[in-house]
Amino acid sequence: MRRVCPKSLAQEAEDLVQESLIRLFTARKLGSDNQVSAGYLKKVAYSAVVDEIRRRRRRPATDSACDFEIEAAPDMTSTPAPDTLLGNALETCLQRLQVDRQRALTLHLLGYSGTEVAGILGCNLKRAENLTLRGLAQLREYLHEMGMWP
Amino acid sequence: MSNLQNEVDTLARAFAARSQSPAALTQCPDSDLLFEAASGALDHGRRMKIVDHVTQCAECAMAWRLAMDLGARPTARANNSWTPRLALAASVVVAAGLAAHFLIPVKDQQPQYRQPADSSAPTSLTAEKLARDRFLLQWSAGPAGSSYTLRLSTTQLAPLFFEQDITTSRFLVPASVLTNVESGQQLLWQVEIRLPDGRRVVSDTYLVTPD
Repeated sequence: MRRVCPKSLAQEAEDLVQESLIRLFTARKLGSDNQVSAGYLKKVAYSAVVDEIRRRRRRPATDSACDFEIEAAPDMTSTPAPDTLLGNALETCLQRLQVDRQRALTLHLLGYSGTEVAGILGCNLKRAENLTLRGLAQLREYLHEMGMWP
Repeated sequence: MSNLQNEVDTLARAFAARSQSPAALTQCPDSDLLFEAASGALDHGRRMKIVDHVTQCAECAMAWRLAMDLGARPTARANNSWTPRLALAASVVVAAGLAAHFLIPVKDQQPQYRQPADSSAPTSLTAEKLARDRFLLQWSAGPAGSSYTLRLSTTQLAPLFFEQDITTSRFLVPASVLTNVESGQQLLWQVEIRLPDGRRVVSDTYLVTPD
């Protein structure tokens, strides 16, 4: 849990371990047939972390400032930062790309390597790289049209 | 750092800072489903539907990354959705080939070669069996000024003899070359002619058997 917990949840790692154990014991108490294998433990822990990520994101804006540590948190009360403006334009332009290119390029922008993109899309590395580069070239044009790219 | 990398970094930063649509936040797939998709356990269509959501939703992108960090990886089968389609295509091709083979009548005809034989190529004038003490290989002569290269090998293509710059259209292979060749064992030979204009043409390969 400590190894894979996202940075934004690092302080909650211990709580998440506890939450995972509670879920595990509850499942056992309810007579779940699931065996306590490493894979099952992994899934329980994974589920606890994902639920926490979602819980934090959806918490009302009146909560403490640390609730907005997760990237891309919406903040409608202040003027959007330049990155946000470009990001919003980027999202609009990505929607205009062919779906394969859009997927490959977006995954690349999310930090996935070429091999990972290929694995996720179920294609070979060459095609994944090709889709990403072609998508990027098209994206430049669209952003340029919108006056958002030099 | 390259310009391309700088550009991608700028775009990635901006993408992370975008305002997310509320719709993306309300239709997140169940965490188990997300893990299965990351593991490649779902069919391609369902998986791509989840991938599309992941590309829209920052929290599910984070969850997908977490699944991968926990070892969720597509299996080889899920990794190549083309495999069943290729197998089907291959089956169709094989079936069509078999049908053509058995159903279409074949006329008696001379074998067709990809390239017509070069008329300059030497042809064998040697008998199929030769005495090992007079193993004389002969072929049709080319124009005056031609020279020849002779190659002799076993049928397993192990070279036995090689001679180049032969100026006549016959060559007596030394008996010592055939010392380890058993009686009745077939050998392969081939001759290459070098024409006066510098062109090289190789003959067909012929079988010869020493007594």
